[in-house]
Amino acid sequence: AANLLDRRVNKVSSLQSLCIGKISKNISKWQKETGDSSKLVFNRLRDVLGGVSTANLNNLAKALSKNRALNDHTLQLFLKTDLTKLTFNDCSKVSFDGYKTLAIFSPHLTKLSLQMCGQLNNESLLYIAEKLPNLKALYLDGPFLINEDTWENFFATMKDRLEEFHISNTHRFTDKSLSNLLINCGSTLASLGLSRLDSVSNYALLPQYLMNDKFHTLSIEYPLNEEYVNDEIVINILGQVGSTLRKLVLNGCVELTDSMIINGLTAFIPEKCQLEVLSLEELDQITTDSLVYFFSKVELNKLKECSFRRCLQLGDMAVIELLLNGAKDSLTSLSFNSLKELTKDAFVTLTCPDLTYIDLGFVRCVDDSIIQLLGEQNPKLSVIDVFGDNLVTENAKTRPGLTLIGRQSDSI
Amino acid sequence: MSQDFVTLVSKDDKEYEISRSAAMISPTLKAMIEGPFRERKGRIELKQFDSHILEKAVEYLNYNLKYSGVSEDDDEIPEFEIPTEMSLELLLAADYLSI
Repeated sequence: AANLLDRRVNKVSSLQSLCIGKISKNISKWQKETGDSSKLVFNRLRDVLGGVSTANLNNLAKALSKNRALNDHTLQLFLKTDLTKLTFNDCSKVSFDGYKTLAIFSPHLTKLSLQMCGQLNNESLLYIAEKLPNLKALYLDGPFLINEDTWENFFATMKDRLEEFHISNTHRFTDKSLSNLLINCGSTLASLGLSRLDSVSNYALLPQYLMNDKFHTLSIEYPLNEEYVNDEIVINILGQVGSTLRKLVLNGCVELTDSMIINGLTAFIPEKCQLEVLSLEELDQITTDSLVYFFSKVELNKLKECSFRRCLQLGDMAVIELLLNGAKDSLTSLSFNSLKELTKDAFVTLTCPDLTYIDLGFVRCVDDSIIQLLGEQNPKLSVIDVFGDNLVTENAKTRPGLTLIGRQSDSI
Repeated sequence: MSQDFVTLVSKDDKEYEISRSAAMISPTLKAMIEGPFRERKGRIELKQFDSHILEKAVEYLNYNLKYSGVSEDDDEIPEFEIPTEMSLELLLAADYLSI
């Protein structure tokens, strides 16, 4: 029935699932053969299945995650390696035991990213903290089994060595957990990410604890209640870390207004700033005027990625001023999605030598001529998103190497 | 749409000829064939893969082409053999080719 829903008429499986099946089958077989004393299995595992270089292991992790095939069996491929950084994009099938073995047999890890790690429990998180002496960076998405006490314990263990901590999608990470994090690790943290944490309200704690003078990444996204992240809090944070910031993400903090841009960004980000990523998605209260002021005061010579998706009030001048700024030469990725106020004038000066991607979805003024113009003016541009732009037709002239995504006439 | 065959080149310069329709099964190859870089017509270099891996991938594409038309009720599709020792590398190649 699943095949029917997918409109699939044949049952030739993909080569990827065939490979994964083969790998899983072999791992289970080996485990059975060696019985319970199977701890030696993965020593030889990679030899039998054909070696993969350390460099390719993260690609393998990606391929397995994409196929939703990362589980306790396939996890063994990653044990006993020299890997220092490991990213699993889909851990939903890894059990708490899996995490424990990972912690025991990959002692070199310094950076670990576990996305969708729903089965990560209290015991295994503490295991990770204890058994990975070099761990400095931890990125977790969906660790909703971890309770308040364990967070407290965890941050106490990681005191003075946690440098990067990003957490999203858990309601058990509370104000108390946040304060534990900041008290224990505030002085070493250089990168902090808080996204969709439904039990955190006291973001006002942040400014007083972020003491590291090398702090470079701040990401606060989608607070439960918009009032929790207001202008005052962000201004205070920027006052503390603004001078060294390289990446700032404030997506979905819809309470923020022009005051944050003027009294925060403009005031505390130094004139020759290091900012590489600026993402202010869905801030529908900020206006063109404040951004024009910001862009005219601060030289964004290193800005690579910039997103104003759904900042509905922004008009042409904000775009034009951004391009007059030093950012023009460094930008690689831009999003003006849903900026309905933009007119054709905004794009005339859009000439960025390094720009590879631009999202113009639901910018209604975009038509065939603008698409052609952008292609001509931006030599490296390879993808333009044009969802909802009904003036972009099949007649749009694009140079080779430039792809339009979301064009109405392309529908199958 | 001039030629019916494309040539895939592996890391050690071994060449594998494959019918155009088989190559088009892989979205990656499809993009390359139809894409802008058509100077060297019908010749695609996949230098990141060893020849034995590429050979197997080509074998799979032909296998897929041959049997994908067979109807649901037919049980005659033979199993595609993957040697255990190349399964990991082959997975990486399959991921790259999206097959």
